[in-house]
Formats: sequence, structure tokens, C-alpha cells
Amino acid sequence: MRCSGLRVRFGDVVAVNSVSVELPRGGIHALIGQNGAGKTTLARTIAGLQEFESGSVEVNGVSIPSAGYLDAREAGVDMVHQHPSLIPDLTVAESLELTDPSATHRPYSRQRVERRWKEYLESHGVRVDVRRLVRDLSVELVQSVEIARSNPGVGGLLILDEPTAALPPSRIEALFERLRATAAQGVTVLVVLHKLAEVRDLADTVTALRAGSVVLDTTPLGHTSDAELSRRVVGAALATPKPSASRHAADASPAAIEMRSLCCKGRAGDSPLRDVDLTVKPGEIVGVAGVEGNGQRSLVDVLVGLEAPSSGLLRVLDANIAPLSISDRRDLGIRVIPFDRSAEGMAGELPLWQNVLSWDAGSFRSRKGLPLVSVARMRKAAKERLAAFSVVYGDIDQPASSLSGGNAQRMILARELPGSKVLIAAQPTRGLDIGGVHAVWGAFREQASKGVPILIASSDLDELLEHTDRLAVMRGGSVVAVHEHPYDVQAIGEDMIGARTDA
Amino acid sequence: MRKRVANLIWRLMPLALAFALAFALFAGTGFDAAEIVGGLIEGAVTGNGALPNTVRWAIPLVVIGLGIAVSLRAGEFNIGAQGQFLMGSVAAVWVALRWDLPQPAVYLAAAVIAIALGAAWSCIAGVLKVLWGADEVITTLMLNFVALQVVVWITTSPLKDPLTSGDAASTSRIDSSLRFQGSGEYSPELIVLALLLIAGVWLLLERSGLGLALRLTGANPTAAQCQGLSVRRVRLWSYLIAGGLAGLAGALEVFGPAGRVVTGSTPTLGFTALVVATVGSLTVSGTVSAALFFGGLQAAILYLPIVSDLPPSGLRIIEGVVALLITAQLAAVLRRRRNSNRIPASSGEDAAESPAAKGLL
Repeated sequence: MRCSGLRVRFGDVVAVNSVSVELPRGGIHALIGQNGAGKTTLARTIAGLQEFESGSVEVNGVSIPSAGYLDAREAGVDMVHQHPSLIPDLTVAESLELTDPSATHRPYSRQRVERRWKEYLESHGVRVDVRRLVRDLSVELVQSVEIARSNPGVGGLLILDEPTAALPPSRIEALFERLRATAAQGVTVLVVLHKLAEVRDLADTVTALRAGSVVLDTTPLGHTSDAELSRRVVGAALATPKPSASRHAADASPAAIEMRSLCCKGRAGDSPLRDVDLTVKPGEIVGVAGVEGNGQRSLVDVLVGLEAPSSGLLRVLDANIAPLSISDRRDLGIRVIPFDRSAEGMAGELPLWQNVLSWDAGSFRSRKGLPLVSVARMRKAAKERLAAFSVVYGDIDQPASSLSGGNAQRMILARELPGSKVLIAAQPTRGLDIGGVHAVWGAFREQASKGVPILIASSDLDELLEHTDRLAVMRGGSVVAVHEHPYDVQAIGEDMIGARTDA
Repeated sequence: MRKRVANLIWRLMPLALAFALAFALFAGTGFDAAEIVGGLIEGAVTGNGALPNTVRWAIPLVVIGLGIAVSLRAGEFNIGAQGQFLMGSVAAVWVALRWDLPQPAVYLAAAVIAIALGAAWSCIAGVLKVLWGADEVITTLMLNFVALQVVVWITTSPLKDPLTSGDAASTSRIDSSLRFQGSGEYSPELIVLALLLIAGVWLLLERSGLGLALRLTGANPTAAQCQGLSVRRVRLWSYLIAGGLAGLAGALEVFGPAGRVVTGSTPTLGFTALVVATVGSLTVSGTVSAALFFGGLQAAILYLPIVSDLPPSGLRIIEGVVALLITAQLAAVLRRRRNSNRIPASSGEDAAESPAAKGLL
């Protein structure tokens, strides 16, 4: 497999920038990098599932056109996606039959289809009753079926996108066995992984991406160290972060946010919390770093009140907030910048004034005992708030969805920051331009200087390194380490991808 | 301004299309289209007693339609207005026929019980939805049939008028001294009451904290939840309001033009009101205008057989086509509904509300 000068763009964002990679035939190759580094995009491009702007992809000497999925399959490339692509409501056999483009030209016979796929799966060493519904199978069994289904045969290329993400640790070794067996048949395997230990365990060579570019060309694993790898992945652009202005005197004061052995089930798609220990002192900005899906979202949810803790201690401002509702917590002054601005942070179709006023600030409270509110007064209050946070808008009645990303985030800050006593922020600068990023961090600093404790979960490690006082690293639903200034970027990177698990 | 015009055209398009289609059909099947148009206008506006009849039908449509508008604004697709309306009329006719009370007490008791029964009927679906996520489209629709069976029961046994049967089976008439004007047309009392209700719903939706909460919940339940609102509670309020208004409309029908409950008399009123609310783009002024329009259509449907040989069901085609086209326009609302149904009820919601929310709700 060889690709050269590959460039993929999503709107204004360049996801993959002039990437040239060459994989030798045979063996298992790992592709690593942070969230958003372009791993999945690169994998999809090679598999013909993604349009590219310039460059070329070649497999076994056959050139694969942009988004040429069928050409890629012809050339012997197939991909197992991070999320299972079999259809839950069909049986295994039916589901597999649908992946065969020629199947629709034949009359359907259940017996023939079932026999065909039973034999096929058995020949690939997967034992499963093909008459069962896909939804009834375990995750690892579905994955085994998908790997078998995608197996392109001798000389082909099999791509797997984060196959370990959905598996419990105990099942990962079985997956690796299967991949090794597949490779032994003469299939070249390219696998996207996050954890260094897994890379070491499975792969022969490793390629690292950072911000859409190759930072480590395909290298045999014996020729590189864990330290080298994590430095490449994380990048050392900010080796000496500036000390934060709010560092004063925080050390002596008692914790404003305190979590002890906190556990919670967490929402689907994120790791549950396992025995999280973390404190934030008044005026302190604490970052939460980690590969996405390692419990950051659950951590924010449990603080906000969207998830109830299953055990452990959760205290904020000397109150046990575990039994409190969201609105009670807001009354305490706990404010949130949510993960997804438009889906959780605002009601896009409603006018600005209604979006920028928060429900607990008294803005909507009745006047003179009447159960009515004054819209004129609310419009005025909304205008003042928007002006204080320099939100650019035309009309106070325009729908909130008409704001650009940076303005929308400023609007949310204008709602959440006034009166806040504790601030929880999730991905506060995602998708913002430099001006927007600057405004967000400036506002956070100002809050911190007033003694507000701030907890920020972000997948942008650079900004956390630059702006936080302490940095907690989450992995597998736990806080595995809390780093102090001056940050050891390499150690943080190793904690994120688990290079120091056994240390 | 131009946006408003565009919005108005977008709203009126289904009506125009429906009329065009219906008249193409009438002309194509050999009816005199000009005669039908003339009959329509005469029956709804210019004819003798046409306007009072239009208002007579606009009143229940606007009362029910406003409740539906509140419900849809909150993101709840409550299509059970027909059943809630019937339960309200059952309550009213029961009180009027069975309870021997002074006149004001009859009105008060009938109104309270009709509102309560309509709201309770609506809330069955509401509780099923907020507690267990049962799809309200299914439950509210099904409850319509149950309510119809209740009507069949009272018109065939306890309150039966022995001279009637079948679709025309009805309860006995309530005492004419209890009727507003006792005629088949509108009465000033009912118009005043409808105007008060219109003002009340406007204040609720546009000028009250609960109205803002309803709108926020309808626009984005996740954001509402993150703001500390109890999404469940707000949604339940939307069921209570929609059901209460439909129930009250049922009582007004009994004390006003109908005077009794007839099994098959207004089988589609609640659904026409749904069309009224959506054509009126869920605003109060829009719903009022649409109710007048459909009230006129209803009056014309009843009048038309006098001047044309077109069967009355012919004009119902217009209503049906409008409903169909509106559904297509509503795709966005429906999509949002699907998304909002995916949001699990929050774990912390049962706990107390914030003072602001407490004050409001």
C-alpha cells in the first residue's frame, strides 16, 4: 500500500495534509495519533470511503480513485469500522449477504444464504449460529464476524478502526490472536489504535499522525521507544507552558470541588467512572486531559447532575451535591459550558434574548405577584449581557442558531458566567477561531481571579498545557495522574495513551 | 417583512393547493365548479345566517386548536384532542342532566369537571410518555377510540334519548334554560368566553414563565434540562393545558349549539383543530385566523347540499388534502420529536426545582 501527497478537507478544516505513507506487504501495522489527528480519515480514504482532494492511493500497484469503494474492494482493501456495520435486526447470514454487491441479482434463498455464510465463517475460524439476530451477539462476536467478512484474502489489505475501543480488556487478547492469524494468512493488516501497550503487543510497525500530518513514518517497533512515540503523538510545541496568573495562594485553601472514589455508570459511548479522585481549589483552573471516551463526559455529567453517582463522595462548596437536582446545583452556583454547543447549550430556533438569560438568575421570575413576565425587561437584560461579552448580533429577536460558533459560545458564556461560583467547562473552544479561543480563556481567567474553581475537560492538550494550573489525565474512567506545573509533556502523553501503565 | 410574507405564503400554500386539487377533481367528475365556489362563499360568508354559523364552528376549533398549539410548542405531538373533547362533553352533559343544582352551580361544576376530565384523559398519555417513554402519537390516538366508546355507552344506556339510535344515538337534551341562546347558532356569551380564552393562551405562551419553559423544552429539551428545568413536568403541563382546553370546548358545545351529545355528530372536530393549529403556525393569532377559515369551511360544508348536488363529503376532501400537505410541511417538527424522544429522562429530575421554576410551575 502506498499513498502520496494525500490531502482531505472538510470545509475549512484540513483533516489530512499531504500524507505520504508506504506499508510493506504483510504484517500488522499500527496507526496512532491523538483525537482529530486524522487517523480515521486516512484509513477511510485508503478504503475508498472518503473523497480526497489531491494525492494518490495505490494498493498492490492498483490506483484507487477518490471515494472508490468498489475499486478498493476489487484491489483487495476492506475496512472494519469502529462502530459495527452489521444490521442489528437481521440475522448474521442476512446481514452478511447484504455486503455482497452481487447478492441482489440472485433470487433469495434462506437455506442457501445460511449455508454459504456458515461455511464462510467456519473457514475463517468463527463459530456462530448464522440464524441468530446480530443484536443478540456479543460485541466481540460481532467484531469477529466483521473481521471475517472484511477479510480480503491473501495479498489484500484489512483496515481496522479502533477495534479495541468497544471491547473489555479481557477480550482484547482474543482479538489480537485473530488479527495475528489473519496476518499469518498473508493479509496485510492496518489497525488504528490508541494505547501504546496494545501497539507494542500487536503491531510490527507503527505510523504516527499529528494534526493531519505524518510525524513518524512507518517504523519497526523495535526501532522506537515509548517515550519517543508519545512525544511524537502529543507534540512538544509547548515544552514550557506559561505559569498561570491565578496560581496565587490556592494551595492553602480547602477544596471547592472534591471527588473521592467517585463511580458512576456514565452514558453510552463513554467510559463509566471508576474511583475518580480529584479536587479543585477556589480560583484554580484544573484541566482534564485524555483520549476521548475515557470518562471525561461521564465526569462532566455527574458534576452537572445529568448522571447520578453510584458510589463515592461528591462535594462542591462544602455541600454533598450527589442527591441534588440540576436546578438545585445551579442554585449553588454550579455553571456549565456543555460539550455540544448547539445540541445542549442552546435552543437554536428561539430568539437570542431567551437563550442568553438563564432560568435561575431570576430573569424569568414573575413581577408584582402576577404570574407574568416582562418581555421588554428581559430583552433589555439580554442586551446588556450580550454586550458585556461582546457578542456580535443584529437583532435581539434573531434565532440563536444564526450566530457563528465563536459568537454562540460567547453567548453561552454570557449566560453561564455571571453569578457562577463553580464552573465546569467541556470542550470550551472546540471549533472556534483564535479570537473566540482568546475570549473564552480570558473569561475563564477572570472568573478564576474572582476565586471561582474551574474544571475544564478538553481534547486540545495544547490549550490545557497553556492555561491550566493543574492537569488531570483520565484513562479508562479513572484519573490516572494529576500533573503539576511545570508540566512534563512527555509524561502527560504517556499517561494518556497508557505507556506508563505498569510504571 | 419579506420573511413574514414568505412565511405566510408557505403557510397558505397547502390551502391553495388543496382547493386547486379539489376543484380540479370536482370539475373532472362533472360538477359545476363555479356553482360550488359560489355555494362555499354563500355558506361561509354572504348567505343568510352564514357568518354566525362560521363563528359557531370557529369557537370549538379555536379553543381546541389553541391547546394543540401549546402542546406542539412544547414538542409533544398530542393528537388526542378529539377524545379529550368528547370526554369534556360527556362530563358536561352528565352534570346538566343528572345533577340538580342551581344554574350557576351547574355551569361551574360542568366546566370544572369537563376541564378536569379532558386534562386527565390527555394526561394518561402524558404520564405514559414522561415515565415510560410511550409514544404519545399512538397513545393519544388510541385514547380517542376509548373516548368514543364512552360516548356510545352514555348515548345508549344511562343518558339515552329513547327515540334515537345508531350514529344518531344521542343523550337527552339538556334543559333549554341552561343553553346559551338555545339555538343552533353562536351566542354572545360563547364569543366572549372564546375571546377570554384566546387572551389567556396568548399570555400563557408569550408572557409567562411557563410559556417560555414550554417553548424552550419544545425547541431543545436537552438544553432545557441543562438549564435546570424539569422537562417531565413541563411536558405534563402541556398535556394538562391541551386536554383541559379540549374538555372545556366539549362543555361549550353541550351548553351552546349542540345541547346534547350525539354519537356521530362531530367525528373529526379534534383533527380539524390539529390542522387549524398547524396552519396557524402554532401562534395564537394564526390559530384564530385558521379557526375562522375552517369554521367557514365547516359551515359551507353543511350549507352546500342546499345549492349544489355535490355530496357534503366532497368538501371534506379539501380538509383531508390540507392535512396531508401540512404533514409534509411538518417534517421538521416530526424530526425534532424523534430526536427529543431519544433523550432519557434525567435521574435528578424528581428532586426539587429551583425557586424560579417553583414559582412558575
